[in-house]
Amino acid sequence: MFIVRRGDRLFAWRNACPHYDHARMAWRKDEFLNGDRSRIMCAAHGAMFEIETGICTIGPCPGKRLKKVEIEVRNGEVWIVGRYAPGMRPRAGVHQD
Amino acid sequence: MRIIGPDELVFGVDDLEACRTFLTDYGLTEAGWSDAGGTFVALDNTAITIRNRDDAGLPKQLASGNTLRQTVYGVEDAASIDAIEAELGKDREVIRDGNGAIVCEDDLGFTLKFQVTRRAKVDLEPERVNSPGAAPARGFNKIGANEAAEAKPRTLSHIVYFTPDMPKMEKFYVERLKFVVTDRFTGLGPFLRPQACIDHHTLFMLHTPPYMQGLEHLAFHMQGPTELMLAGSRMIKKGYESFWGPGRHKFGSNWFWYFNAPLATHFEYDADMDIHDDDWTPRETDVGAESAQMFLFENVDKWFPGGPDDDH
Repeated sequence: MFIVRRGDRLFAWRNACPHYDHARMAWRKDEFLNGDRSRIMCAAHGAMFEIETGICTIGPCPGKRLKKVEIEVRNGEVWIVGRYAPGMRPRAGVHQD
Repeated sequence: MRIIGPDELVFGVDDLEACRTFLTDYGLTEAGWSDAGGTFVALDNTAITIRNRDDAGLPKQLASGNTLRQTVYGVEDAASIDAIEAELGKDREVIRDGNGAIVCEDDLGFTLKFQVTRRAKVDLEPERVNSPGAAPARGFNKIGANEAAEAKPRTLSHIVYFTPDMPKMEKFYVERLKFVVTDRFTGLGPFLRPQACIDHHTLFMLHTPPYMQGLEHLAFHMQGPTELMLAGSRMIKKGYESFWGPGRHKFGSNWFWYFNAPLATHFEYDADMDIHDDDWTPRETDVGAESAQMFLFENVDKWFPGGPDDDH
């Protein structure tokens, strides 16, 4: 997952482009945004997503949206609300819980 | 149609500095940079050029907004350009650019340029493997595992297009430009090589809706599998995002490792691709995880079998 901060508002999304299964979106660690920081950009094929709504505005999955991760801020710390597990691709020979 | 292969790809990108950093880390050499962007070359001078998305000098964008703005093909000589101009000029505008090259669109709206190839003949070391039962290829006291090896991409290997009309695209490249079909994934697309090329493929295509039209990925050839692994693991160490690989494809036999990139297309390292001539009979199979690769690995953190952990 990743979190984008705008001022003091946080937007948390699953790191999974709706284009493919298990499609991670950054082009380098923590680099999830386009050049002018106005959109989330998937570095697989350039899909652009609104930071606040997660909706794809242009690219291979128009109209689809990122999956939101519920978070809350308590005393300056960011907490995930409810259950969360990373959605990594299954690895052969590794037991998945 | 003595086309050798893709010489250069031109992109209109969203973040020039991010792309500059990426292309340099990927292993290409910067050959000229300004505020407008720059060109990055492999060891044989095949290249990636990046400009700002809004650069007025670029060919027009595809309706999908894809970052690829031009595919430049290298041909053997000026006579080959004349032949292509005569053929394609029958049913579309073909413009001479003043440097001997011609520019036009293919049947799906991709902008193409044909030029006498910019690629240099390079004389480079192969990967040398010691195989029991055969004479040693690497020789005494020569080390195979060189962590400091340079790992620079040697040549632009292939591109894969997203296309809204695959039969139409195949017909254009095969019938008009005389590309040869090497193998085929049923319903997905053909692997194509141009006439003056021996590699299994320089072009593959994926059938997608029109809003996705563009470049799905590009690949540069590395010296061999070891150099590919070295280059890829360096990218991982720098924080870059692996998409698929490392592994070895069945069709083409090439090792592969794909990465995300701020150019909004996947960048692949490949190695040890099959070469073919006109005696080859194309194979065909359904595409799927099984037919797409012999095996697939994932880069993990280094580990070694040390002693049992202390409990206190």
